[in-house]
Amino acid sequence: MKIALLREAASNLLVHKTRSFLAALGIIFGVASVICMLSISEVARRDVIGRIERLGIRNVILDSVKPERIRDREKQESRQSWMASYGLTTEEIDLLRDTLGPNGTRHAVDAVVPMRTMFEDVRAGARGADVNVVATTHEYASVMSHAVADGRFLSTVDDATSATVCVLGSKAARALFPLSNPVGQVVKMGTTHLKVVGVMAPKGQTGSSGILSNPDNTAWIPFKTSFARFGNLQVRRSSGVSEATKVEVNRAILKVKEDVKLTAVAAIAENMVDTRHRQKDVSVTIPFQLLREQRQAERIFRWVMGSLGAISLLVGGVGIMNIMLANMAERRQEIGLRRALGATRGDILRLFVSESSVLCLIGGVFGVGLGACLAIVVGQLAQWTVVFEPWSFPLGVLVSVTTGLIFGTVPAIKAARLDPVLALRVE
Amino acid sequence: MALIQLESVSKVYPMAGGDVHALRNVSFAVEEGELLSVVGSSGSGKTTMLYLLGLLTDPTSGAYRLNGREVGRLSDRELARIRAQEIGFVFQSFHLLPQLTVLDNVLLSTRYGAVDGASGSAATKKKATALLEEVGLSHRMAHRPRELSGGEMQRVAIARALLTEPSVILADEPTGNLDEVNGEQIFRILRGLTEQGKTVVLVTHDLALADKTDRSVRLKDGEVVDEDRTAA
Ligand SMILES: Nc1ncnc2c1ncn2[C@@H]1O[C@H](COP(=O)(O)OP(=O)(O)OP(=O)(O)O)[C@@H](O)[C@H]1O
Ligand SMILES: [Mg+2]
Repeated sequence: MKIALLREAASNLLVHKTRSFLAALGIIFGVASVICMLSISEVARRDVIGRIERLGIRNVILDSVKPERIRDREKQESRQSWMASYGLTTEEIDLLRDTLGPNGTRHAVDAVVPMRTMFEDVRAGARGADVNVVATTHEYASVMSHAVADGRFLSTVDDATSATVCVLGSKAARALFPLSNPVGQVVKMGTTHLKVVGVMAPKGQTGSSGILSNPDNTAWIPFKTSFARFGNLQVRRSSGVSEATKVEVNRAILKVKEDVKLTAVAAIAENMVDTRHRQKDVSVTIPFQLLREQRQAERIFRWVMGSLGAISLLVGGVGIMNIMLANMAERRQEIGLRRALGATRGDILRLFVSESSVLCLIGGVFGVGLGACLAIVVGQLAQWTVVFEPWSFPLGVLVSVTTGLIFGTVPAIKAARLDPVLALRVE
Repeated sequence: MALIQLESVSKVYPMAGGDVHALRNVSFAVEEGELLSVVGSSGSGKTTMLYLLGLLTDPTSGAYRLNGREVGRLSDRELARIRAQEIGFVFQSFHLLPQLTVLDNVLLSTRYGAVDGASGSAATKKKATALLEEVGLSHRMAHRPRELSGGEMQRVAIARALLTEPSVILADEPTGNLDEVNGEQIFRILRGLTEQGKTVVLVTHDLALADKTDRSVRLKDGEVVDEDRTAA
C-alpha cells in the first residue's frame, strides 16, 4: 500500500515533468552545495591535521627568523658582499639541553633536536639533484616519528666524530639513485664525499613551505659534520656578489616530557633565547595549539556551511511549498473526486505529503550526485584527492526528504481541509 | 423500510451577506431499486441535496437514514468508507483524471477502501474491463480521457461508479453536457441499473428525461414543492 502510494505520487509528479523539475531545482542545488562543501572541508581538515601531526603533537618548535633589519638590507640590492648573522646558536642549544634536558636542572624535555639547512649541491656521480641538505642529530628520527626504510639513521657516534655520512629521504634517494640501492654508496656535497648509511620511509609535507617541511626530499648529515666540513657560514653567490648568512641553527625541536605543559616549556625556552638576543629573531610554534586553532576554525566553517546549506534548503523548501500549493489549486476537482470515491482527509494529506517527499527524495538523490560531481571537479582543478564522508550522502537525502515533509505539510493540510462540495464545483 | 430516508433536513450556508438556505425542511424517501429524479431551477438546491445524500456534506438540521443507519453520528472515516463501498457518483463534468488512462480512471474507485482489497488486483482489473465492455468502451481502455467524446467520458465515469458495486448511484446532471443521442444512451444505462436492483437518484434539468423516471421530486428555493409518480 505504501509503495502504491509512492508510485502514485511519482506518476502524478511526472504529469508536469518540467514543473516538478524546476520545483526540485532549489533542493538539488541546496543538497549539492552541502555535499560539495562537506567534501572540501573534509579535504582541508585532513590536510591541515596531517601536517600538524607530522610536526609532532608533543613538540615545541623554535625557528630562527630573519629579523626586519636584515630583510630591509636585502631589499636595497647593494653591489657589495655582506654577511648577515641571526637566530639560534649551538651555544643556546647546549644551554637548553643543560637546563631542560633529561640531565638538566629542570627536566622538562626529553630531547632538543637542532636542525640546520645547508646550501650545498648534492651529486651522486654525474647525477645532480635538487635535494635539500639538513644537518641534525640522531634524535631527529624518533622525535619526528620518521621511520627508517633501509640502513640506519644518524647516530651519536656520527655526530661525535663528525663522520662524513648521510641519510637520504625517500624522494631524495630516488632522485640520486634511481636504479640502485643508495645504502653504501657515496654522494658528494660541495667538495665533500659522504657515505650513504640509510634511507628513510616516505613521510609527507610537515608544513606549507620551506626546506625543513619537506623531509622526503632531504639529505641528512650529522650536525657537527656540517660545521667541521662546511664551516659556519652559508654562502650564496650570484653575479659576483656573495651573500653570506650565519645561522647556526635554523630550527630546534623540543620534545616535551609527558605531563609537562607545552605552553610552559614554550614560554621558558622563548624567554631564555630572547634575553640573549638584541632583536626578535626566533619564533615559537606549538603544533598542538595549531591543531586546536584548526579545530576551532573547522567548527566555525561547519557552522557557516551548515547555515548556508540550511538557507538554500529553506529556499528550496519554499519552492516546493509554492509548487505544491499551485498543484493543490489546480487539482481541486481531483481532490473532490477522490473524496467522493471514499478518500478521507488523511488520505488526501498523505497523497500530497508523499508527492512533495518523493519530489524531494529525487531532488536529494540528484543533489547528492551533483554535489559529488562538483567536489570531484573542484578536486581535479585544485589537484587534491577528493574525500567524502560516507555519512554525508544519506544525510543529504534525509535532509532533503525532511524538507519535503516539512514544506509539503502546509499545502497538504490545505488540500485535506478542502470542502469536497466546493472542490467538485466546476467554475 | 426505505433505503434512503430524509426527515426535515435543512442545509444552511452561513455567509457574510446573510445565511443561504440551500435546503429547507426536506423530507422524502427513496425505495430500493427506484429511479428517482430531482428537478428544479438553477440554485434550487439539487446539487446540495445530492451531495448530502452522498455524505459529502452533512445537514445543518434534520435526520438522514441510509439503509436504516443514522449517518449524522458517523465519523469522517466511516462516512468515507460508505462513500467508497455503497455509493457511486456520476457528475455532469465527468471528473475523470486527465493523467490516467481510461482503465486506471475506472480502477481509481477501488483506490480507497475497496471491498475486495487491492485496487490493482487481477480480479478487479478483470471486473473493470468487463464494465468497460458493458458500456461499449473495451477498445478505448488505454486511451486518455481527452481522447474521448463527452458521451464516452460519461460512460467511463459510470463504469467507475459501478466497479465497487454500490447500492446507490447518485448522478448530478449526467446528461447535462451531452447531446440528445448520448444523453439517451446514458439514461438507458442508468435505467438498466435499477433493473439490477440498484437505486438511482438523478438530478436533471431535462423535464422530458424526468418524465421517464419512476418518480420526480421538484425543488424550489430549497423546498420540495411537488412529488409525483410518473412512469410507474
Ligand atoms: N458551499 C456553498 N457555500 C455557500 N452557498 C452555497 C454553497 N453551495 C451551494 N450554495 C448555495 O446553495 C444554493 C443551492 O445550490 P445548488 O448548487 O444546490 O443548486 P442547484 O440546484 O444544483 O443549481 P444548478 O442547477 O445551477 O446546478 C445556491 O443558492 C447556492 O448559491
Ligand atoms: Mg447543481
